[in-house]
Amino acid sequence: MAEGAAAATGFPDRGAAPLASLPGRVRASNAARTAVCLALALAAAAALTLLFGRYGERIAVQMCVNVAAVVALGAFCGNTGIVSFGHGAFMLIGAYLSGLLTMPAALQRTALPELPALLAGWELSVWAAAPAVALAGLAFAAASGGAIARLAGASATIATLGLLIIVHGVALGAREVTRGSQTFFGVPRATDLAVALGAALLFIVVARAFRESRWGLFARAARDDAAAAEALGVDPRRTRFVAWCVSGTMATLAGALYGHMLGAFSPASFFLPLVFAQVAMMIVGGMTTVSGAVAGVLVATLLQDAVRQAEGGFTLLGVDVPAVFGLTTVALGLAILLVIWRRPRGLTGGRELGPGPGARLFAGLAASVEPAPPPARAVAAALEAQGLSRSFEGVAAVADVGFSAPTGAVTGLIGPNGAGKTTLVNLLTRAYDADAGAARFGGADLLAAPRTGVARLGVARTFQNLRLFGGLTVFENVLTAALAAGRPRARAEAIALRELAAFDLGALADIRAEALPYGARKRLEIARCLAQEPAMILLDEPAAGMNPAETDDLAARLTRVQAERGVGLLLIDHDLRFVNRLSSRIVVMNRGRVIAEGAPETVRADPAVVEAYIGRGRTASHAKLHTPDQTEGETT
Amino acid sequence: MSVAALEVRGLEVRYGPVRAVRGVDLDVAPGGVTALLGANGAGKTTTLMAAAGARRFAAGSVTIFGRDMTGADPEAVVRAGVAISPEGRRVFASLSVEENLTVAGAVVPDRALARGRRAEMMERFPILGERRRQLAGLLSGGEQQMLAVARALMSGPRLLLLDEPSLGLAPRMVDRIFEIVEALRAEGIAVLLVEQNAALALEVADRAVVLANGAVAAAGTPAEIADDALLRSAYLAA
Repeated sequence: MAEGAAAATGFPDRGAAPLASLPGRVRASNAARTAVCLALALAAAAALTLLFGRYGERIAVQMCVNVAAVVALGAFCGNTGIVSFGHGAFMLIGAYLSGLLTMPAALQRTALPELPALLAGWELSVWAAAPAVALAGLAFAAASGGAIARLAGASATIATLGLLIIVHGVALGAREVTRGSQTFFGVPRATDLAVALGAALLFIVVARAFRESRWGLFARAARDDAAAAEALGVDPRRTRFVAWCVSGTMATLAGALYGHMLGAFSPASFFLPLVFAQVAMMIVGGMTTVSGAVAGVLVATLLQDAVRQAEGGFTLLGVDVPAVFGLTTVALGLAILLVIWRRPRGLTGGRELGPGPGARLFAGLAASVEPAPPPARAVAAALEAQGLSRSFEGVAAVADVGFSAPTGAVTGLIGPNGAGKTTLVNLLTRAYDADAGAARFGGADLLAAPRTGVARLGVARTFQNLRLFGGLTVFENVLTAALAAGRPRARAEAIALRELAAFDLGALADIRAEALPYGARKRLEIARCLAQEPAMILLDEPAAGMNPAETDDLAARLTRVQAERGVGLLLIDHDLRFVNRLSSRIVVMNRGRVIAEGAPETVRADPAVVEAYIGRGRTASHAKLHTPDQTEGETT
Repeated sequence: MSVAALEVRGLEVRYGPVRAVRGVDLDVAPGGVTALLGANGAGKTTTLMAAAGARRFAAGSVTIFGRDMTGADPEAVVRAGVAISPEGRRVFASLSVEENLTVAGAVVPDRALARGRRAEMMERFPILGERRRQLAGLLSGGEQQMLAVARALMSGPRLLLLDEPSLGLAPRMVDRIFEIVEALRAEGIAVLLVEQNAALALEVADRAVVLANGAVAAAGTPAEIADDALLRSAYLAA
């Protein structure tokens, strides 16, 4: 079946490498990708210094500082999908604070006579000041992150821009600390090539580690689909907050690095031109990856340098071109437009450079993790609803619905389109608030739980219109779910392997979810949900769009999982053959209400159900044709 | 012998190195219904989107009502009298049901005719009439599916490309969709029908093409396809 699935989808069969070595191969691939980023930065710095001497070294220092700053920026933007213009604020704070803590005391007394005593006279080394700078950056990130993490998309971007403008304004106003718009000078020029390169390499390692860590995965999952992340118990706000704090702390240190490179600066040094240049570098390279940030800086540095030569005027084919100022910014702007037009995901195409887990390089790695054994059987409990109601603009989508679905059994939920089935699932999983009624699972009040707390109560769901984390691989999708359920990494990996094997996704494990064929996407949603080891799963049209063979395959897999683990399934589908085969009881809804409930045969014979749902046409006759095999199926 | 509504010859589509569709030939007779069947990933949707001008192809030709439309853009294909109901309920979520239909009717030059068609759609799909003022994004999945089909019919097409119209629909509604396909045929509208539900598709079609791994595995009358036991078990599982 594994080969069949791979061949039918046109994907190359990668089944050759055993599934059990996958976590090891993923780790090896992650390390290799970090090494590629480091090598890129190192090679560029070496080439500049060796080819262009002193001048090249200056460019290399600037490039390394930019690598540190853009990698820091990417740690937030890439993982959350929110473009931030606010990182200039962190850089400003880092540069001024580190400057104040390290400048010679005598110089400080003349330049800043009114400096508050707390900040005056420290005269620390750059290294001694760094922890204080990092701590200040973290504190500022935590204070501002509470507000920014609540927002998503364009409104979050605007908020970061607001933050930049506020901090810029405060820096202009706080004359006694910053000398206002006047140049702040006397900062030790400590950023030489060794320091800058060291910092750039360290930041790359930290950003790569964060991206592949538990919180990096959560942030990227919430970026790709917030509703699905919430259903797994991942709070998108918290992921944004964590990414903001990590990224803000890094950006503050990058600002100190920049300050010690310049030696003298003003608030304008950290305002829009700088921020724009760094955002442009990130987008040109590819926002979602660390290698994109590094590549973007490299390309932009070369471009800017070439243009800067031209900015002072030059002679082209005997024609004197006059000096044009601002050409570097224009060139960067054009580069963004060009790159977005030709490669919407940046030069690196939204992928970390370097070998993937399927690369031949890692084929020899021994199996590191064995798939986890099935979890203990779910305890006997029931999902129960009473008087559940919800209206939209006066239309009662769900009205006074009561039913019960136990663990250890499959309860079918059928009904005409628009009957309120999906709305009911949304009420039970807190995606919508109920107008009235109660819902409990095993004694816990579902309606009192926050949206991200339903998963912890043991209730998981799939989505009718497929909500996968498209930018994550198949393996990462399932791994994220297991991690979100609170499992330690090694255990989560073993669980992910188990679910991939159970749903025949092993050969597709390192393909991104967005590139999967339809049938595999449907299976992945169920595998992801099972990785949380829930006691009750709400399946919203799992077989929609599948042909009879695929539906039968899915039914067999669900039956096996259900029997093995004793979970409860609430199964919504329109394929009656499928629902009848699996369900021991069926609930029928129409126009927001439960109209029938009972054993499949009873429900099928109910005239109200036939009238509202099944009809007497062709579909009904086709469903009946299969009645004999289906009763056999039920007894097994 | 009148000219075919749709004639696809030697179609080849690639996704990077993967040849998703390999040398597919396909005909839809004027006023006929051709069913395009096969497993998920066999290349059905890719073939349909290539015929609609929405997907570039590496080789082959597409002729619509006798006009060579190879490499034409989707707008030109629509102007040639083709309507598409794409897979996956691509309705305009922030417009109401009625507005969705109005937008789709904007290609009809005669306003009164467009209004008439809109009323007709609400009659054909009563649930859309009931929910005419509701935002399409708030419809249930199956209702969105119906809206997508209704929207495709608004332009008064001569050839309709339907991608999985029964997806996510209740049995009664599936019947309704297939009745509509039959009614369209009676009105002389040609239909290319991509379906998972092979048994039903074969009942309404007068020609069927089965795809497997991007190539034509079989083509013929529904009776021929339905009687071929091997074909049924291998590709249709019907």
